[in-house]
Amino acid sequence: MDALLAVFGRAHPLVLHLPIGVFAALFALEALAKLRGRALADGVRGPLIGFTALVALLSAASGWTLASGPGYSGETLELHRWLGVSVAGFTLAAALAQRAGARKLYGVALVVCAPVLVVAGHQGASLTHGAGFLTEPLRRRAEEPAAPAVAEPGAEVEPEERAPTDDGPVWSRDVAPVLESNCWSCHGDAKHKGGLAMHTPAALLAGGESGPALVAGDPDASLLLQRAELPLDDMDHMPPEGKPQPSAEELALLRAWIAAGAVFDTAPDARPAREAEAPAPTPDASEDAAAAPAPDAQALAELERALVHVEAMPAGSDALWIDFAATAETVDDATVARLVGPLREFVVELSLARTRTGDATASFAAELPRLRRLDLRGTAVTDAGVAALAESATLTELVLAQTAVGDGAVPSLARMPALAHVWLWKSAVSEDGLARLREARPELAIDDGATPDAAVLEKEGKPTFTSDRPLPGQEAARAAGLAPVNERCPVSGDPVNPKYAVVHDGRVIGFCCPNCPKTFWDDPETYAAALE
Amino acid sequence: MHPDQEPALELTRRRFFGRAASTIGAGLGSLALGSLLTEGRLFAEPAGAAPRGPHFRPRAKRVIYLHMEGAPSQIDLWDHKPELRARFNQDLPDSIRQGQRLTGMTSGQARFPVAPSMFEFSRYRNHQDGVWISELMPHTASVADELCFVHSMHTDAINHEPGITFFQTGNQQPGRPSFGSWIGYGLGSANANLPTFAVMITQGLGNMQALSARFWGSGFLSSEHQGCKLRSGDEPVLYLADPPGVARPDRRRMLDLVRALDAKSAAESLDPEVRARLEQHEMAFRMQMSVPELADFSDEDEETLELYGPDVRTPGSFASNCLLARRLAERGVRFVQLYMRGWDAHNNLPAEIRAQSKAVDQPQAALIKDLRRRGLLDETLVIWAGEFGRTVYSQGTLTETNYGRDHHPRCFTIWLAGGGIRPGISYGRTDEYSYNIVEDPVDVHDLHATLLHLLGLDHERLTFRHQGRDFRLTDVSGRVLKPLLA
Repeated sequence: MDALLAVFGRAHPLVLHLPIGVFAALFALEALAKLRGRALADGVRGPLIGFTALVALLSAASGWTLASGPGYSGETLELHRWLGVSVAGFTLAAALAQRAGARKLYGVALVVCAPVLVVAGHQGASLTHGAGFLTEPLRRRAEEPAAPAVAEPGAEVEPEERAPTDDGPVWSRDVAPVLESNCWSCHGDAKHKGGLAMHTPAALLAGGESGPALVAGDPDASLLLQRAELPLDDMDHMPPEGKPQPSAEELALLRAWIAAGAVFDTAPDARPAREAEAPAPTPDASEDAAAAPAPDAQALAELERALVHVEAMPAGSDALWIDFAATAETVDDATVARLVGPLREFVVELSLARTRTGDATASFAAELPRLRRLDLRGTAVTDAGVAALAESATLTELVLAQTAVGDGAVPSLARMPALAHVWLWKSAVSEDGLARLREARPELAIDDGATPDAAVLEKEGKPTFTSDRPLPGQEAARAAGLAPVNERCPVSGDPVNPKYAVVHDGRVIGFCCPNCPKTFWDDPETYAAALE
Repeated sequence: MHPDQEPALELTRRRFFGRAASTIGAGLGSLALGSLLTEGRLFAEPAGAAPRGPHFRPRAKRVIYLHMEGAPSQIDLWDHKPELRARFNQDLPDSIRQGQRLTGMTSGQARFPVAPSMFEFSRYRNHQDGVWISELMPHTASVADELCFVHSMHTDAINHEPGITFFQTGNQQPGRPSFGSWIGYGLGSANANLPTFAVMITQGLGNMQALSARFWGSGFLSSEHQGCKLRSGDEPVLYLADPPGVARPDRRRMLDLVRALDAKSAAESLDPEVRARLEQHEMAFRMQMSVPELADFSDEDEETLELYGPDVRTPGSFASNCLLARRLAERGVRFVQLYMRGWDAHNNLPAEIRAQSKAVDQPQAALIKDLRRRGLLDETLVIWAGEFGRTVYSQGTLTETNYGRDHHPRCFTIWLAGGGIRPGISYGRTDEYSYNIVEDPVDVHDLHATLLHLLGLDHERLTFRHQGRDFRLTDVSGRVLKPLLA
């Protein structure tokens, strides 16, 4: 019942358009008739105002239901609630007046209702789309000359009031405006979808149904940022698809603010109290996004000509997987530097297995700012190359199988901050080296090609066959504690062994042995009859 | 606009009828090099277009699909039913059979005697409380902690042809694109020198059924997405080598001339197949170098060859094809389809399944281990499946040492490994007779949706418009099975 009620409530945004539309039509017809000095025919007026009143009542009722559920509160809502109820009241009055033939009263109700309906509708739209939705383009136009809204690619100048300064982003000056333009329409004063409001520090810290929105100091653990950074087509992405999305700069700013401890200042210029101990914000990310928004088409075409595979992961993103498998045996350090160099900011996975590359390429890969997975299997990389890679803050998966990498690389591997999985099969790392790496990094997954086989936990022994397990129906009969109705087996005529019984026609019939039930089922009617 | 739909603008009468015909057959003309044309599409749009890629970040970049043609018995390999041992030769109860349809081969049988598996099972460690595996698959059992068993697979088809067609194309009737074709269409090639969708066949040791080329046909997708069958022996791709006396520079000059003529013809006829053929010539030219290298195992060390077992040196054996599959995977081939024929054991099942299992067990375990140590397993999806299962009751005479089993679509076992699959688990449960599913049924569309998901493709968005509607691999159903994902 509650669920049905909730559905009724949610139908409000659908139903409400009916009274508005029909009322507008009626109003226009009345105005037109008045202009021509005639009265609208009762046959037109009656059904129209009657229908308007009916759907206005439905709208008011569903709206009331919706508002009493979770997610809505605030002044705008209260205003909208009572204006909506008034519209229902006025239209009902007009309908009754029309029916009673009170023309004057009808006219007054209609005229009074019109502005109330306009205001109620506008308030409702503000609740759904956010305050100021309607006039936003006008405001934006007025602001334009003062500050360019979108920085040109390559342009170094950013809107001053949004730019993270050296001091790091400040809540009231930098962060709140970002949340206001992207989040508050659904998670603000009037509406808190999913139980989350973000318009005050207290509300933001309180979180929503999915948990806390913020983990101060840890952007990756903060739901707020996690949701915003999901791919646009992910179900959980925020803001939802179709709504205005925060820019890369805005996301970088949020990230920097959370990383710096998510401090709320009270006055616009107040200093975050914990700033001194917080890690430095990373303005790099936002600068990169502004300076190089997309992989260079020329460089991509160059890769294609060289038969090197490049793929966006996912499509439309600027995260690239580059794979040299097709021409591996002709690829050397210079080729990699020449082809991948122009795309260095975008490479997240680089597959160089079986290429003729070595330490120079490893050093080159160490400089790729977003590299997550690097496959150097079967290359000439040595301990020196791995040492260079130790500088990479992003590298999580590293394949060094079939290389000359030895124990000298163990300290470097142990140092790699983000490394989670390394492959060392047929490398020159010794048992001792592996042991040291395991000790230094117990959580690191190391595949040295010697993964033990899955152990046998239990052996059942050579199978032997019998057929004395009672059939499923017999078990049920026995479980019910029913005794056979017969003393002699209907098939053989021998005495019944209660172990062997079937249920037939509501009776438990016993047999002498496990084979007789089978014969019985060949012609149950005849054998059952023989019992009588 | 998607490059694959560009030809719609150039639809001619001749092409219209040509396409209609090739929707049914596997487009004869371009069979050998069918799937080779894939590059060029990535940047088919004017320079500046973003590179192609999956819908979301993928867990797997490629697939190795081991199809067990003929349908192996789940009861003798994976679906352990010890209680049946005390039901030897009892009749299958009506409460289990529930009047479900049987094939014409056994529907006339007077009795349906329960045939428990005569093979011994052992419980192997995995990431749950262990998994029971038959003595027929000891090597596969050694990688039990990498495998995700689905015991509750079911299908709509009861015979091989529609059964395989359903697994390969998502539909029982022929004419739809094969799974591998959809992947080529969705993701494109990752190696411009090799086919995107490679097919290899191993002849079985048991009862075999026909294997049609349309199982790897591209249906209504462009013919470049067809599977390319690699033959066993010296010439994996037919007619690839230059005839004696033709040197490589000669070949190049000839290709350049043909290209000039074809370009003229393409401009006049507007037939996109001319353009496709042009690209296939170029691809063949490159494959003259890449394929012999691919099929040459001399750079594999002794230890690796031993891992795959003694058959690895026999071209066309399952072991050899598994090693070839790994070599294709590490060269970026998106979809490798291996068929092992001969699992259709209507009679003499114990003898046939012994021989079949021996042929696949060590190679498939070796494939998992070899992919794993090379850092390839976590981005390669391995699938092991037949087109349906086999009945618990014996087809023909049941003795303690011999029985047969008929087709059983109601439940069977498949396994998955690598590429984002949760390792070392069992999913779904069948009843005491391995006849009906009692927990978590998985249908073919669910499996397809899940596998596409791992490849970064949304099965509801991977569509192709044909004959007035958008087609999907999963037709109108399919759910992504979250419990199977790592």
